[in-house]
Amino acid sequence: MAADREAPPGRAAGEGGELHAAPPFFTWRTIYAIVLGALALQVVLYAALTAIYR
Amino acid sequence: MSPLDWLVLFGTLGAIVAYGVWKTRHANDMASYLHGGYSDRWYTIGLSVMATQASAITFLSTPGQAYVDGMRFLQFYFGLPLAMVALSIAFIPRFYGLHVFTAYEFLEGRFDRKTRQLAAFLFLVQRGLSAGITIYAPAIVLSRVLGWSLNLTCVSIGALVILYTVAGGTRAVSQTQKHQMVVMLGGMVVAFVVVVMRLPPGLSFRRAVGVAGVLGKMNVVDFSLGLGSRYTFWSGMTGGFFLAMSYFGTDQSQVQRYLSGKSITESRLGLLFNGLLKIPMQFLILFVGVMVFVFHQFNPSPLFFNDATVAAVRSSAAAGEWHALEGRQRSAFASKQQAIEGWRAALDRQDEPAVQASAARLRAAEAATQGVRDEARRLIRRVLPHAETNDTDYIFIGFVMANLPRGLVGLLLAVILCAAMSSTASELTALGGTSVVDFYKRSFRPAASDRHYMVVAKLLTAAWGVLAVLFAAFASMLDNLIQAVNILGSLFYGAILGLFLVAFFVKRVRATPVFLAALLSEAIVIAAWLTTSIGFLWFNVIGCALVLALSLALDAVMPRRPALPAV
Repeated sequence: MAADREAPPGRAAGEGGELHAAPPFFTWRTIYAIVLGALALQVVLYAALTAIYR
Repeated sequence: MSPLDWLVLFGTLGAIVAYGVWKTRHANDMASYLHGGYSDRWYTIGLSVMATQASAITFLSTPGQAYVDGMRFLQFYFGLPLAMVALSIAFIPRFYGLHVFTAYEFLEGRFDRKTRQLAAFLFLVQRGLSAGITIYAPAIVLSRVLGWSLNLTCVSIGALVILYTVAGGTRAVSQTQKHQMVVMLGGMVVAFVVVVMRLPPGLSFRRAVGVAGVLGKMNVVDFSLGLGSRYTFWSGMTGGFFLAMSYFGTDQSQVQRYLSGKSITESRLGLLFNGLLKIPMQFLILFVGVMVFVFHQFNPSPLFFNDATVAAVRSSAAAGEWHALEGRQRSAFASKQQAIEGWRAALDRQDEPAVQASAARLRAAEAATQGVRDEARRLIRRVLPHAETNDTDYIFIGFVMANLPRGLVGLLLAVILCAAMSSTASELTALGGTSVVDFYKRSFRPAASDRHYMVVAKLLTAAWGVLAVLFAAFASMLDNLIQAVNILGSLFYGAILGLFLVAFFVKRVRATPVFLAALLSEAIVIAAWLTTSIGFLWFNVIGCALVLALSLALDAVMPRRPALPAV
């Protein structure tokens, strides 16, 4: 019952490639690194802001 | 409000709603209605996810919170990007693999129908009540500001949302949210520019931030390990991560946002887009509040920001006491002005001891101002025992109404109404969709036509909308309702997340043990809430941990059916 609808176009069941397809130019690993790197960079910037304007 | 403001307000809202209805006029099957025909690109998903989370109270309360408490609330969001990565890796492929309409369908594939419907039921109870609050909370503030009755404000917000949500379903919600999010972000940027331009001439931006820093408002990051502080780097990274995993991973109002993607790649990128932009957006909103605080260091602020409450006190027998408090506030403001001038002059002379001394005087003057505000709250409590003495929700809207130029007031009110509508719309489509897919179709009419389900989904979405408006109108009769709904959410979220984590990562656990574990966990969490003083946010963690531990324990002790002999 869980899959009680047909797979939509472009999402046929068992298309393993679709589940792992990465966008053009970057791998998923690179994209995750960008997101987490941006978080780390922001934490450093905000910590500096806190220290400067204490 | 000027006619221009009304024009901007209704023009913005009307244009967005009309666009959403027109753009989605061909939604005529379940896939179109519940998942927008799987046509959304990553940027639409990302903006839609952000708009769903950003309710009106985000734009009303958050600047006020920064005004009172500084920037430290930002740390609450530090775990969110991490959660977006974890969801992209662990949750989205599993949802896509089974082609589910709702997150709870996945639980039937892994366990059984009763586990699926338990999770769906917990979601309906929790989100059904929240939808009323999403309308009610901003309506309290907006009704006072606009001079409308509370019920009229609730009905106006609710009717607009029901109109385009029922007409176009998820795609209408996504399409309108995309534009609503642009209006919201644009409006906050405009508010930031205006407040900075309203600071005194000759005061550099750096000095303005310096004033906020001296008065403790630039407390963005706190690495201390003490449990006494609610917002630290560590609590944000752990508690924030946990909450974001629960909310974005198991709440259908968010899951259906990213399941409407054109492909799994678009869905993942949409969530990661949210992970990238959420913290900067919250920084902007909080920083606007800090700048409003700095503005009021040079321009007198009201003793209490809720005008209606102030008017009630002024017309009571305590009017004289109130007048005396206002006089003391003016004196404290004058002392603060002198201290700021001294601090600026010391900075110009680069005289460090004088800078420190004048900063201490400035802090003392601010403490005196806060002391007068605390006395004003006590007076309100004495004169009007049922009045709300927390005025933080009125700080930002008060600044907007008094200081923004004509036209921009209408734009900022549109920001707040857009936020109310966008989060309510997501909630209603999720409630309608879950009711149909997880209950109506699964247990009552399993073999009807696709069009039949779509009609029922529309009717149930409208019914949830009407229920939300009724609940919002009724909410004024209850005390501490917002906190009550937050507590309700925390009581249920942990168990729902626990169910999904067991489903994903503990393959050996069977359906009945996990179902019983969820029921037992809920009972224990509710008993602990009733009998202990544990902070309600911890119940998210406790509920999840209990489901994991109890399901493993029950699975170990409950007998397994003997395997059939091989033929």
